[in-house]
Amino acid sequence: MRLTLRAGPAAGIHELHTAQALDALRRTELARVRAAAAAWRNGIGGLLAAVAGFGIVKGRSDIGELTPLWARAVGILLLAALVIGTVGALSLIRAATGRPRLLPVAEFRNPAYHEHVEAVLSVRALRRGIALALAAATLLVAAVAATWYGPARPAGSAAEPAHVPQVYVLVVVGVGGRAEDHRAAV
Amino acid sequence: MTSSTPAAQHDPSPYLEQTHDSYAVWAAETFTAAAAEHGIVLLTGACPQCRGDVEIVLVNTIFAGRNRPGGWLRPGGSADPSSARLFMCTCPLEHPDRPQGYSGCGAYWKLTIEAAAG
Repeated sequence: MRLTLRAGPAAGIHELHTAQALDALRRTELARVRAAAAAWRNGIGGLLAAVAGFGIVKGRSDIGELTPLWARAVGILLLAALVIGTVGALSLIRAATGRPRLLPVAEFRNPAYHEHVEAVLSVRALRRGIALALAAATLLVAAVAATWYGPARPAGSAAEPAHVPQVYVLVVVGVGGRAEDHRAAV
Repeated sequence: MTSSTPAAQHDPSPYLEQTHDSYAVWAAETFTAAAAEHGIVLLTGACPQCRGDVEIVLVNTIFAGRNRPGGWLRPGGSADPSSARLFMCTCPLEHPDRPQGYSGCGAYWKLTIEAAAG
């Protein structure tokens, strides 16, 4: 798209001060996005770890005790939580650390330009990561609740382990720069 | 080999925040503007006051942060590309008495950016 420039109206000194403040914000923008993303990554990682840990502590621990329908529902919930949580975690990591990408020299324009583009993409990844991680936590809670409160298989009914999905929820989160592995076998 | 020497024309006068009607006219006639992704516009030209080379990255959004009006993660700033925007000299060359953290010579002006017809 070709752009044309026209002289604008007279500029006021207060507008200059606003532009200077905006310029200062832009120069620190990427660092602020990275710091916010790291804080969200750690906080949401802790939340997911707590939810997974809580699921281990109490309640029914074998979905083989549920009716087959509820057992399958729990399996689907856990699988969805795993997939959505993984995508969310990757989005949060991407926002906090950036993409491992090589920039072709021919595409280089201006350091400030590339910093702002990266900040925009990181904010989008951060918002996506927050939404997905919270959705994964909700699914995880729903799976644990269904396991605890779902109807039990009638007494005398043989369990069907071959039809019961053996699902493990693996939550790998960066807390304080370390990767922690929490497995919740349900 | 030939080389351009814009720095030789640069006026290293002390930093002074000022504007003049001729600044906007000069910039409108001599600056080049290129649209980039995410609504960014890149402008290049020589400052109307000090003649230093200026590269301006015009953004429509900025990461607000939690302590800024608009709340968490909400981009701020003007999103209307047709409205007049203020530009200021950001030349990297030395100007005495320039406050720390600032760039350029202090010149500022307003331009309107429009998509060219056709």
